[in-house]
Amino acid sequence: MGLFNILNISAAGLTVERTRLEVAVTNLANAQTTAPPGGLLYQPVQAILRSASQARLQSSHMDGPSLEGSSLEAALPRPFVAEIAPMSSPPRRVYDPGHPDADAQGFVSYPGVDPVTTMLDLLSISRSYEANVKAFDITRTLLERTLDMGSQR
Amino acid sequence: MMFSVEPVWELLSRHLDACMLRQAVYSSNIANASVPGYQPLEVDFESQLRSASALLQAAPAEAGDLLQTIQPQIVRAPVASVELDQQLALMSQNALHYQQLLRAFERSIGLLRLAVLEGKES
Repeated sequence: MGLFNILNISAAGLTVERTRLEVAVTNLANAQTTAPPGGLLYQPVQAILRSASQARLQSSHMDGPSLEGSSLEAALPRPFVAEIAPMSSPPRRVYDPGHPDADAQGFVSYPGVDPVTTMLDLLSISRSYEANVKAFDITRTLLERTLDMGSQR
Repeated sequence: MMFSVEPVWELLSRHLDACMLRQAVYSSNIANASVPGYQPLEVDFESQLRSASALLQAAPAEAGDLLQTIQPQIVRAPVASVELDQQLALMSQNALHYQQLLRAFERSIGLLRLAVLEGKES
């Protein structure tokens, strides 16, 4: 039985949440950048998450022979970041004729980052990260107790 | 009647395995909480234990063989999405259960040690 696989699952969760954090922070950091008219404006991105081996588990459970023992843990889904895809949010246009990057009508384009949504995302990311750390801790405690089994106290 | 510790150990170790698998399943649920469309999973063990114990009362002789048939299964949890607090609560409960089983294991080892040492403490 792959005891340490459980820790790997939590670690995969932590990696995914950290990537989401990086993406959200990058969007936030670039929210105030501008580009000259016709130039390349920063495009907000988002992390697309998927679960590995989830499909395999479900199909085997539905019609094939059921998995047993150690292969069960190997079949447990792990999250991963499939891609960092650009969001299709339109740029935010602000009237500021004195700005060097203003277009002919006096509008400056900013990346379509919604600070409120991004901050809420950050909160939820932080909660998920904490939950994964907690799960990691509990698993580690159980493993330590198992290793201590039978020792004289 | 001869005292045999083996069925007890077999049952305990199977139950420990099931608890560790459950720990893995809850870890996986928490890790996948942010994946859209993820279906939470659960481990089914207690219902098999119950049906095995019902069978055992009908035919007490086959206890050892019956234990071999108990296998924990991964099933879909009856909820649509992962609730982090709920999963963590279940996980803490499972962790306590696991430590309880470990304690029982240690006690049965202690019992055997007592017998080997002919009742003397050390």
